[in-house]
Amino acid sequence: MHDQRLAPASGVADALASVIAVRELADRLEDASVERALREGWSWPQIAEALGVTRQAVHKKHAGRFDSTDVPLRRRQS
Amino acid sequence: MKQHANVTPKLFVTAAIDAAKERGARSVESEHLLLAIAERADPPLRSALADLGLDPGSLDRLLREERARSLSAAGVQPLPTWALGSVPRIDRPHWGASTRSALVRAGRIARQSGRRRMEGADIVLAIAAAEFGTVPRVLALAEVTRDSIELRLRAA
Repeated sequence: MHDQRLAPASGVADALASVIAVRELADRLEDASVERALREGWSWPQIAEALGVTRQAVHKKHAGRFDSTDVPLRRRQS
Repeated sequence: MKQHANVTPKLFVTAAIDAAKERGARSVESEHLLLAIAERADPPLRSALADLGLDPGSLDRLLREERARSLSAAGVQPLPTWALGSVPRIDRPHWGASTRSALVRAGRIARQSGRRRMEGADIVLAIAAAEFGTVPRVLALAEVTRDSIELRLRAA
């Protein structure tokens, strides 16, 4: 490769790769944090509000993976 | 290139989905396909990849190093593994653009070699042909060039 600006691991390529890496980290952090919140007794509406999304959205995205696990799921806010 | 078709591309694709899921990835990318081939290919191809420093363990380490470097470019430090552990999502990851491109390219490489069906080596060459993205960055970290991959695979 003759043009250093277009190397896969320098300059703009690093910046673009960081977008992928940050997005991936955010996804994994969301998964871990939602699980932690549920284990600490948070309800879906509370988690949704904290994440800035609707209850339906957070429930649809995460609820299925906790079926058949020991993670407590609060159906309604007390 | 000799024929090494005991392990089929379908098996590599299935294993790539598993590799993506295991890593919590939302999409199956070419790095997952490369990992799957490094783990599941028939011995000649698997040995060729290992000779290039692309055995499964090294690939895994290189992928983590690439992500750490990429995060660092944005001023972000990687979090410890324990902080990211969670019950995995159950939805199947979607097909990433890098995987789709690699499979299309692998088909073309097979046809150019007079074969109707692609093989693992075709897929590896196709993955390595990408100019940008995670795999080219991993290969740069490992100081493995596309030419060296092609030379080694032809000798396998």
